[in-house]
Amino acid sequence: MTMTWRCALIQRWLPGYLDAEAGGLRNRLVARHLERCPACRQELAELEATVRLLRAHPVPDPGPEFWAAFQRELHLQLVQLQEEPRRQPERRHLPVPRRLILAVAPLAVLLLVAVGVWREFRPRGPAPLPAPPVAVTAPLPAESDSSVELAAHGGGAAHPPGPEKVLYAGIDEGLWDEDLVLNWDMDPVLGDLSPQEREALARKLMGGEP
Amino acid sequence: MKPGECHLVSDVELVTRAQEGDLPAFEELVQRYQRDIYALACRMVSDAEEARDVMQQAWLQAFLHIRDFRGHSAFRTWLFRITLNQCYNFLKGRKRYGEPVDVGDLVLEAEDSPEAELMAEEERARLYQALERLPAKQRAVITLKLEQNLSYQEIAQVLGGTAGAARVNYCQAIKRLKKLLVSEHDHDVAVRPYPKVAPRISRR
Repeated sequence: MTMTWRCALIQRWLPGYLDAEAGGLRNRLVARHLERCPACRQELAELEATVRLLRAHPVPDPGPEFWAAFQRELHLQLVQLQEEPRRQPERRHLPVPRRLILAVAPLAVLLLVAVGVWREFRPRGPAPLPAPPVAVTAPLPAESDSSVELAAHGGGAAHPPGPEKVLYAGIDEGLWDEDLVLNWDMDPVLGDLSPQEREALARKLMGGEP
Repeated sequence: MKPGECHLVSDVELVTRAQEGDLPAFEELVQRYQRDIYALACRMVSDAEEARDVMQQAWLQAFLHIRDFRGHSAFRTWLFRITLNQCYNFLKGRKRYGEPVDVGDLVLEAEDSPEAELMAEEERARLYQALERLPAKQRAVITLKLEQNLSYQEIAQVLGGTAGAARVNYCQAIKRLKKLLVSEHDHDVAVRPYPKVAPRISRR
């Protein structure tokens, strides 16, 4: 009896051949091979004997007394188990499945870490300077010679001479913080100068000689 | 009780009632399937006394988790799964602590004549020894297929994996069991590579 590669293949299928669930085509192939192969027939016979032996020796039933005692004991334990949950507060189940929470939690942690890292190491350019306020000059009833000339250079040449109040766009709406507003009022500066110094400064600002 | 047998109340109804906390309904399920569970546990742990404990643990686990049973498989299949998990836990513990195995406890039936009895006992002992030497998963698949008559699909639900994998597993298991039986037959008991299991007095 020589065993061929076909025998090896067929012998792998033999246990399945014994039960009714095996496919029809495969069973036909096995049956055809068994007709002419004594080695595989021998193998099949041994497998059948194994199955027969196992079925001939089922686990023996221990008897009604065993089952009665078992059920009594189990009943006591079941009653005890049934009473236990009443003593303990019932576990609350989350409305979201636990698996979903477990899946999302690491992603959320990663996202938080990424945001933290980005905030820490994001590229920082020079801090943006506040935009210079647009100064608008408006005439005031009070008079001041020095401020007239300055105002004329500030774009208010058409205005009549007189003391001016510096107005800032948006300051009334509260868009500017008072501390941020640059102080363009020259009066305190000019007040400290002598008449000659004022004249010299005026000439300088007008492009004249110092 | 096998699934094909007729019951006045279906498993589904009993399970539903048990899920609502009806203890008598659960005990009815116990009565239906206790023999199947016991047979599986006996085959897995090869010890009648331990099989009883494993079975008890399996029923307690089933009672505790019956609300988790969604009915995707048959209740019996779900029970087998719980029982096998208990068996695996027991076998792990036994491997760790090296507890002896007593297959002698399982031999309870008497034959007609002393000769027949002797032969049957020899055969049985040979079978139990061979089963004992099989890996636990192969022992499980053989028991589920040949004794509990589960389909490959149901075996896959119990053991995990696919029906195809269950079929391959069964084929390998039965071939291995055959080889072990042949080797048990051919060799004398004294030269076996594992310690001879001596029958001992039941602890019951």
